[in-house]
Amino acid sequence: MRDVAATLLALESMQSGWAGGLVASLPRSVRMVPNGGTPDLVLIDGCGSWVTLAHKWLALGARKILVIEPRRENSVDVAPLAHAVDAVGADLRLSETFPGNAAVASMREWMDPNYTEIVVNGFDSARPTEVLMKQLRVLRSIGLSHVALLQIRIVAAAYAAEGCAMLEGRNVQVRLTGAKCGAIPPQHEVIALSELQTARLVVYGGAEARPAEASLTTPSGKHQSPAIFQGAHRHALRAILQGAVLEGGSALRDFAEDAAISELAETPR
Amino acid sequence: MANSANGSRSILGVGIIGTGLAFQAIHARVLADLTPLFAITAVWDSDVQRSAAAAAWLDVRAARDLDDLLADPAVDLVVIASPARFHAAQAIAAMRAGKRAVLIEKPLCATPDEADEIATAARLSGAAVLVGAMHSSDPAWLAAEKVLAEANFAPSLVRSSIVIPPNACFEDWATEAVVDAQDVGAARSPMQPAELMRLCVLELAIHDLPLVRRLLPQGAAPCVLSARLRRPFGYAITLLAGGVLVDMSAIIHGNWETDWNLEATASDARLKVAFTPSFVPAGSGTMIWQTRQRTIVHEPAATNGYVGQWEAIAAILNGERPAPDPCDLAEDFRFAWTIAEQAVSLLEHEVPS
Repeated sequence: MRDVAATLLALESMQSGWAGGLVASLPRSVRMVPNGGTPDLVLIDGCGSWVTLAHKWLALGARKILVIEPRRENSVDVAPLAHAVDAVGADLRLSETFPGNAAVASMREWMDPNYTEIVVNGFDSARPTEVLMKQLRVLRSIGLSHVALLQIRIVAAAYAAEGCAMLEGRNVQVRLTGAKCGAIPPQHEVIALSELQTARLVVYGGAEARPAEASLTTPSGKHQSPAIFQGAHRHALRAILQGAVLEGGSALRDFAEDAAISELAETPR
Repeated sequence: MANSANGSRSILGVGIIGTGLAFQAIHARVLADLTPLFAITAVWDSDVQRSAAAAAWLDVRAARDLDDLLADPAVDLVVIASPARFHAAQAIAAMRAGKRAVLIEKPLCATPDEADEIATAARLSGAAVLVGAMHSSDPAWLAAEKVLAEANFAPSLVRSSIVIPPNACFEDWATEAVVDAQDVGAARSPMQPAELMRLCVLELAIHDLPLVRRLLPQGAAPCVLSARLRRPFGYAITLLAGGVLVDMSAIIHGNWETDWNLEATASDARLKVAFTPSFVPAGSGTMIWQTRQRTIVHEPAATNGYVGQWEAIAAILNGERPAPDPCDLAEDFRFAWTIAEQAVSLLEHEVPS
């Protein structure tokens, strides 16, 4: 029997199975839309041509779209999608494993203008510039904006970058390193440094619901956030089902900015 | 060698050159733990008051001067814990005086030429030269070396990251100053950025630079890409060596957290060594080696690198293992010095914002 409140969902994916568990984990809230039906929500697999698919669904009347793990698309293609979303009053959200982890909220809460430097390091099975993109997305998720990488060096399987960003209206130094490593599950660490406090976030890949670790060290001790065993995609799906705040195309505009930075890193200088 | 209780000459007599906090907090304590393997037999410091105080504390002879200490037959080997600018002359004098081993607190010396002179003196005299940088002898790093010897590990990124509270905390947990620092003229004017950067590399980063060099292709020369100082104290340096990116950073902050790591990442494997802080006998670091097939973990051991280096000296002098190649020590220093000078050069060319 269908719960009358269940959201009818359409799925656009080239991969089999990845979303089945996600949808099955919300048996009262979500049902797949019957053939020919109109979905309340569209889930798009971000490993394909998700920008094109999102345009298609907007044209078909979809007003809630969630893109799962969007790969870096050309920034000049993403910006028009943001306008299209806003033009029809739709809500398009991006769900990404690392920046979308529930523990990111704690880290974001701890960010204040006393931090002078944010250090990000990590490894992933992707190419260095894709690792960079993921780290830029993590920086964005903890409240940094206007990231400018002033120096970047990419070698075959690693990169190192230095730059600056804005954090609550103040300039903050950023230092990022990343490497390609397919031997073990990915991991990214963010460390925010100030003279007296250190905030730290470690996010892990490899298993959907492996909790991230977020901690705040002060002269008087260390606060560790509780472990939350819910992956970013389920968290995002629940948020969009609850309606929360309409994001329009703003997430896309941020994504386009980050994509532009990582595209620039690939440009020989 | 000093006489042991049964009349044999098995105890190694140690002469101390420079009796500041490194000697007090580290060597005096470790050597006391390693009795009867070693015994401090004489001390000398250019500051007469500190020399006398150290001698009285240990109930050993205060040498009149360096020559007097080096002429003492009860001194088999020396520890050089004086300022770096004196290391080369003192080490060479010790080797020429026939001392069997010289443990030089890091850095080895002040210039690459001095490093070569030390290496030459070591070859000519046959004396063992060791650099007092505890991570090279830390059981966690030794476990890493064992793994690396069997692996074809080619990292693309190496990171040396140091986050620690001020040294004073650890010194206080490790010793009591026999003579207060201000009584030996330690007060200094504020350092200029170039001097600070040299200090950062040659006194702090240098703990791990020989280890970093082991992770790079053989003979890789460093090219510093960016360098800056951090407040309240620290540095952030990026360099390229043999096609490998090296990220070196440190901060001495105002809270209690210690996080001292050496990491190297390749496409097929990853190494991480987490070290314990300086001065305190907090045991060894931990090592984790991960590949797709297996994970090897070295759990913290009871002893640390300070103990390890003294055990290494005993083993070398007993003929149980070879001494480090002095040319390699000189190359370690040249690597660190080059990074320091390139970092200083980048600071000096930086346009003020």
